[in-house]
Order: sequence, then C-alpha cells, then structure tokens
Amino acid sequence: MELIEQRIVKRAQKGDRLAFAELVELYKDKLFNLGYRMLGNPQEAEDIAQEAFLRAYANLNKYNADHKFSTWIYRIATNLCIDRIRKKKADFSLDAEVDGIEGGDMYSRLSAQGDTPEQEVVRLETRREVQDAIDGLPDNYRAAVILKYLHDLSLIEISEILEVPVSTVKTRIHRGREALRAGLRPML
Amino acid sequence: MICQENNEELLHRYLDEELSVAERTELEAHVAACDKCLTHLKELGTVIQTLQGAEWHKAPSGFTEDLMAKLQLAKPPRRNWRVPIMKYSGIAAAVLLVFGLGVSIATPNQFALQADHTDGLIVADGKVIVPEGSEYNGNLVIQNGDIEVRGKVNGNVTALNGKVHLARAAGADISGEVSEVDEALEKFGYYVKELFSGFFGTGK
Repeated sequence: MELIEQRIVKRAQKGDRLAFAELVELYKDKLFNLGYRMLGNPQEAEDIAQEAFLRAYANLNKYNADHKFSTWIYRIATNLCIDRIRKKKADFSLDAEVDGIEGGDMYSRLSAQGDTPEQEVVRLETRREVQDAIDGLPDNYRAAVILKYLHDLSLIEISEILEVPVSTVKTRIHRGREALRAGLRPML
Repeated sequence: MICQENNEELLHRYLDEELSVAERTELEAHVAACDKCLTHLKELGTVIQTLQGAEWHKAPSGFTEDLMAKLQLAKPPRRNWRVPIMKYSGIAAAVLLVFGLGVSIATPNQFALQADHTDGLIVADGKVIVPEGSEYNGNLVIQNGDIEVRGKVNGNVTALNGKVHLARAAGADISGEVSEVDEALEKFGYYVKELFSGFFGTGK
C-alpha cells in the first residue's frame, strides 16, 4: 500500500493533478474527521481539510519520502486545526471572561449552531456529549487523543505528526483521558 | 498498597500495558480491594471505549471536485532543487570536481537559449524578449545573454552570465524563480543541479 502511495506521490510531485486527486480521495475522510473532531463542526472541518490539501499541493516538493505521506499530511492538517483553535481562543477570550466560563465551553456553544433541526434526541445527545467533552480538552491533548483513539495511529506516528517525543505523547494521552473522564462523568 | 495520588499514573500505565509483571500483579490486587481505584479504572476504560466507538465523519460529497477546482486556479507546485542536492551533496562535490572543470573549459561564450518552446518570444542576438502583453508558459534559461521580460512568464527564468530585466511598470511578472548566475563557481553548481535533476527525475 505504502509503495503504491509513494508512486502516486511521485507522480503528483511531477505535476500530475490526477495523481494528486487520488491522494485527496485517499485522505479526505481522514482529514475531514480529524477537523470535525478537533473543531467540533462540519463546516470548519471541511474548510480545514480543503486548506490542508491546498497547502500540501503547494508544498508537495518539500515532502520527502523518508517519512510516510500520511504523517506529513496529518501534520499539516493538525497544525492548521491547532492554529485555528488558538485563534478562536484569542478571539473569544474576552467573552469567556465575562461569562466566567472556560474557553473550551465556548467552542461547544459555537459548534452547537451547526446542528440540524431533526434530531434523534438520545443518540445525538450522546454524540454531542462526546464531542463536547473532546472540545473541552486543551488543543495538545485533544490532538493526541483524537489521533490515537479515533484515527488509530501508533504513538510513534503521533509523535512524528505532533513533532514531540513519544513520552510527551503518552503524557498528553494520559492527561486527555483524565480530562475526558471528568467531562464524560454524567455518562459513565 | 495504600491508595495514593500516584495510583493514577499506575492506572494509565496499566491501561497502556506498560507495567512490569510484578507491578501489574500488585496493582490488580489493590484494585480488587479498593473501590476508588476500581471505579477510576472502569471509568477510564469506558472513556476509551466511547472514543473508539465514536462515529467516523466522512467528507461531504463533492469534496474532491471542489478542491480540484480550487487547484485549477492555483499555481503549479514549484520544483525544489534543494532536496536532491542536499541528499547527494557528497556525490555532487565529486562530480563538481570531475566534470565542473571540464564544463567551465568546454563552455563557449556563445549566446544560447534553452526553453520549452519559443512561441511568442523575440530572440535577438544576445537578448531574449518576452513582449508586453504576452504570456509565456515554461522555464527559460539564457546563456551569455540578457532577457527582458515585459509580459508574463509562468515559470523560472535563469540567466547564465547575463541579466534578467523585469519591466514591472509595464505589468511584467515572473511566477517562478529568477536567478542570475555570473560567477564561474555558481555556474558549476548550476550544471550539477541540472545534471542531478536529470538523474533523479525532479527536473523537466
């Protein structure tokens, strides 16, 4: 699989747009789901996934085949998500102070606007609670937890994506799990 | 084992299967007897299961088409010479020694143009002109001569032993990299780059 993928990447690097489209097909769901889980709503998820592919295309020649393509593309998308979370935090920190709530809750409030009216109450509420709990995590823990449990990536790959040592990834996952335990307590 | 703060750490390492056999046996015995730690462990287990069972959100239909439409508007990706050069710098140095000198001696001081095509170009002696209002798609390499860009070039422009004049006032533009290579040594470097880009398939 990886070998085939490397060939597609090579073709794309030579300017073959169809090859790039193949890469998009391979990774669009992964990046979209990552964006959805990181940012909490489908609009921003689509936005960030598109942006990640555009950046990847523009920088395709900086990708070197010593690393997996998936690591590279995940890194671009994760960094974009973290940047956006931090930017939102900066934009809304004043409101958060006034309301006396933490930044994490602002995101869940914002993202709740994206819901459709026809809700299957119970199932959606559970889903919402899970996403709210994820939204409440600090961005670093959030990325590590999502990549590990929702994207099923190895600690080594996560450490390469986030560009931190494996020990740091472990700590973030550990803290993330503790924070989720608190966030999901009503459900547990 | 007394129930202490540091059990949290142990519980997480237990979940990640990082405890030694002795540690694990000790913790399991403790958890069996300690409601607090048992509940903690169960809750963490539920957190993990909940995450793993979370719905997978797929990209909306038309995602790829939307993206490819945006790419049509984007510039083609730049060729990056540096990666292979860095990677093979040792061989490059050797080639430079062996061929570089040869190239410098063998290169005549004649005007030459290397281009993907010459459509729309005005080629005069010692000078190449991209006329105002015209658009040239491709890379241009001029040896021992100048290039005057009054229109647009969608590609890289290189002048070996020459100058690149860009008439910005007339709306001229070069989307790629512009380089003027005058020094003899830099010229060797250029040939080595060309040579390697040929070898490793990153060139034209």
